[in-house]
Amino acid sequence: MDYNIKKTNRLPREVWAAAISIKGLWPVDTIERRMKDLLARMENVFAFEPDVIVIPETIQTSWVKETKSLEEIAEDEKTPGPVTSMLAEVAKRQQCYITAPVITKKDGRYYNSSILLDRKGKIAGVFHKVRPTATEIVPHKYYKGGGITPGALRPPVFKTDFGTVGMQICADASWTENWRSLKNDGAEMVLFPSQGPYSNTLSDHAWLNHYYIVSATGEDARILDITGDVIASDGEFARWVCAPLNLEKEFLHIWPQTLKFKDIQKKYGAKIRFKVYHPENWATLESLDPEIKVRDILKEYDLPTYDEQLAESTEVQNKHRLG
Amino acid sequence: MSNKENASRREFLKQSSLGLGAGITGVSLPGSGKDGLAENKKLPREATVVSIDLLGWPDKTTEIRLKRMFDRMDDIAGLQPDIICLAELFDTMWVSEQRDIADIAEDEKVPGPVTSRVAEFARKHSCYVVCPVLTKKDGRYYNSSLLIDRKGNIAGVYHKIHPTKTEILSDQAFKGGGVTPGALNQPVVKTDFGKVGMQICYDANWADGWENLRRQGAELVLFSSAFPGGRMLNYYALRNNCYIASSTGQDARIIDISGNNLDVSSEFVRYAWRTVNLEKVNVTTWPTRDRLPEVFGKYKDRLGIKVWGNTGVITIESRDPELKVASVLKEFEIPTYAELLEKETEVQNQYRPG
Repeated sequence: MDYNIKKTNRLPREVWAAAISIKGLWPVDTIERRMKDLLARMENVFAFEPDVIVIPETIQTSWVKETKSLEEIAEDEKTPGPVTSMLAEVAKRQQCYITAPVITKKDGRYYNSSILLDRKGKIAGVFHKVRPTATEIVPHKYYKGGGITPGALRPPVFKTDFGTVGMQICADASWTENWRSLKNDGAEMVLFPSQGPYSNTLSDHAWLNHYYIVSATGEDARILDITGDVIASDGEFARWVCAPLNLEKEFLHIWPQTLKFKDIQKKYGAKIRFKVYHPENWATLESLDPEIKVRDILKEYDLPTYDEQLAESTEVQNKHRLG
Repeated sequence: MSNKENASRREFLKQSSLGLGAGITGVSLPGSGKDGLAENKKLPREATVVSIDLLGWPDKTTEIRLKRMFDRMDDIAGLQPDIICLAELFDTMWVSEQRDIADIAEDEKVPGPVTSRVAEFARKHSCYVVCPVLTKKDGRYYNSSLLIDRKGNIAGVYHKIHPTKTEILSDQAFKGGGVTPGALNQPVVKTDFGKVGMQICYDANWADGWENLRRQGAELVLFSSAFPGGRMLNYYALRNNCYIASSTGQDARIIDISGNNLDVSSEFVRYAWRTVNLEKVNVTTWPTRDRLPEVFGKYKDRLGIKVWGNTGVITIESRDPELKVASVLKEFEIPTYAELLEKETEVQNQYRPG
């Protein structure tokens, strides 16, 4: 199959994201077997021409029976090691970004990492799990031969050709600051390789920070909207997902903005889409027309984003609060 | 009613119930009125929480509104609630008759016209009621929740921390004046069943008020609102380890400490209720899962254990008046959800360079 035919009629900020679960593929005896199974499963999403593929945490060790020391399995962060190379080959062939979640070694320390590979198979960035479990950290408790060093509290974001992405891994989901840091640094999408699915918790991070989350775990694969809604979820007969995401989309508070929604819809018709979340008083507005930017509409109708509205409200509240 | 008095009332009801004969002990009769059966079944740290929604608006006058609300309150009185939560500004929100803010704002110490009627209900049914009204204090107006105790006294006042801009700016939302935002660090209120806190409507968009209540040990947060809050409330319940009773313009809910809805009002029943157990904690799936067989083996049905799907959360509650959950956790070395995160953070900080 010729995978060089790229989709036509795509919106300028449309991104096709894929996530592969390894449910049903574990436990396995060897790393070699794991990678063979994983690569076979990944093939399911190639027909969608994904821009990015996320695969689960520590792909070479999670539920793999052969035990090797950290020294043996840790890969370099600049020159792709064995597992990263395999995934880099796929990235290059499919011309997509891929997360390579492996143990890495840097300056004598080990990290539970996610290496972001670009469309040419090159290393575009590395994320170190900020919140490894205590058993991962304390030497010899989990990994033969050493312990994992926790990553920096301000995780990096990476500019891709479709937008700004951040990464988080597994137990990172139990804390909020690391997710907020990604938002503050402009992440529009967070890639989440994990062992555990963190069902509702991930949805909360999505709506709290208004970014998409693409999650690949030992149990499931999901794509979450900026509102926390599940856009796509794997199941018994397809342990992978691939779906389009529109980054030309804004998160709004509906009050009193909703009073103007009717006029906006009347003017722009099918070129835009509002989705109102009544219980939360939220709305999203996205552009379905390559020529229309959501920010321009907000400016035209003098509508703030959710964050802008809250910032303004906070300012007014602080001004009028006693003491 | 003091803790002691309430305990006596419960004891009296228990004895009365036993006097009816063993034949009906254990029969579940919600709304069984004053026969005491519902109360008799309660564990020491259980409280029956009711929230009533406001749907059915607009109403032409405050009087019509109050009648509608008191009718709903009467409907649930048979449940013998320990606390009832009403919706934000339940006397004036979406009421057509326009009155000046000075006319409707009530005193925070001496119950005003609306608060007095709520207080009368509270006294009659020996329950707490969250009475959300506009109040006036030191020449300023607040969007408040007054907590009325079982004797009809004002036990606590909460001022909405985050009113909307239109509420604050004079004359934009209220005729004749604007509302002052409440202080950022307002106290929790101790009731005879546990510590409670209050939040109102737009507050749901900020985490600070909820976190302040958590730091003070709030076990139940009463959320009075115009809008329902949706998934935001489920998030706050888990994050802050508290039950939430929400009464809004659209719905009423009781939310578990795990973040899951326990009860939601519906089209033809505009209130939600649940007897919640405050002797209950959130723990994480790991490492709790591995210890469950042993815990089941020893304590059997003396504990209520619920695994909440793939959320990573398990709740453990005591179903035995003599058994404290903390002692079980200690015995099996199971940290609470919050303790686990705290311990893990400590290890991470210790090993993180720089």
